[in-house]
Amino acid sequence: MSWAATGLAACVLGLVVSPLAYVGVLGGFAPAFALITMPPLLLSVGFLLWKYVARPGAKAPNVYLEGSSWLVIAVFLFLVLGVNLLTRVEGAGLQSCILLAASAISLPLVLLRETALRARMQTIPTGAAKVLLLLLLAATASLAAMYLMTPARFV
Amino acid sequence: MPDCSAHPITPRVVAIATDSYLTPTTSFPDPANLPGLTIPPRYGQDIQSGTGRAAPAGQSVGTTVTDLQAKMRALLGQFAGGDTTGMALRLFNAFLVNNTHPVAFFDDGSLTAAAARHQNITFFCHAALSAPTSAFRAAGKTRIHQALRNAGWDINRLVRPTDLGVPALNIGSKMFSTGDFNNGLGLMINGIQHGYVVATHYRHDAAANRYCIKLRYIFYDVFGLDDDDLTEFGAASDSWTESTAAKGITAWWQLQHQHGYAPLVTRIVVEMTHEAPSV
Repeated sequence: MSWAATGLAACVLGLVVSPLAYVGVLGGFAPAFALITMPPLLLSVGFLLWKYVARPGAKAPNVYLEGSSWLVIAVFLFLVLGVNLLTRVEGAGLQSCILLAASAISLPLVLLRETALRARMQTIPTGAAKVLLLLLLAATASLAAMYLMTPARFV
Repeated sequence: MPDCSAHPITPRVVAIATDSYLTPTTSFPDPANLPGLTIPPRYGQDIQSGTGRAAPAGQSVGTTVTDLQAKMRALLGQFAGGDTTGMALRLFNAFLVNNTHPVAFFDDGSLTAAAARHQNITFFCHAALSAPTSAFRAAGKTRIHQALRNAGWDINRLVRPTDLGVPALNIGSKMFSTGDFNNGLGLMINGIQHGYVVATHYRHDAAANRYCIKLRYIFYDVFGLDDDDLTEFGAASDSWTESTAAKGITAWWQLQHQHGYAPLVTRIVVEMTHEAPSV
């Protein structure tokens, strides 16, 4: 089992569940925001989790459904990270913090369970997986550190 | 060392801090607090107001003053939920009272008390002096203590430092509305635009190699928005995809620049007496 593939699988799972960290700030929008965004978000997160933590060999997810689910997550993150006057840079830093934490929380599941997601990650050449993981961790750690150490900007 | 309050001097500005982001265009003097100052504090576009001006990118979250006021007041819920003194509400009320009042100072006892307790203000007050016994010092910089030493401890010959950094009331998280983004300070002030240090009492005891100095720290910020604030933080429209806070910013800008609500200059005055060795 490659540590890079395991790490990438944890990061992907972390990214899937990361939007749930923002449920507490939905009050920063009009009620319509939660009513409109939460059903597709929960369906998308649920679908991806169901497919990714399945045992290897299970039927591969429909590529259109998988792509649509990722699109819903991306749009939700783009919108929710505009809450409370966060700048785009601050939003990227905050999402990096949450992604790192969610990935760390996902790691035991990836380590303890043979999943379809990890099997997919293992199809990536080991060298490329290592570079990808290190680049991802370096970028998110840098953004997270910048966010945590820079005073909040305001009007 | 005798009581410093027994040694009043003609008040004089002994140090100046100015926000480096400022593009100053408009003077708003405060002669009563800043005696002998030839160049009064100057502010940028955020101190201006008007009627009917188009937003830079057409941003709009409403057309009626009632609607815009409600949207602006929503900022209080987001960033001043923990303000138990009501200082942020008083500032909003003063701004929104009508669109005929001119630009004026806003002084508030609760604001002053909260600022005086704030660790960034405490740091500034000590670092502005930077005496050997100061709790915080600006290492390697000429501050009031070093300027006094350079003047032979004669405060009348002091060349005031003007390169001090301004403090900010921005401890906490905007995202989770904590600290200054919950107690109202971040909403009312955030980054201070000007800081002046005025000496009101001074006594140098050459025999004891000590001095005492009473300093009045005066901080100014504009409770108003400029176009950059609108572009960076405001909502484009009243759409459900925009956050309540972003709509509040746009509503605030519209009230100021399209409906004639004049900004206020928030003023905080903190006093502190220091004793230090004259070395």
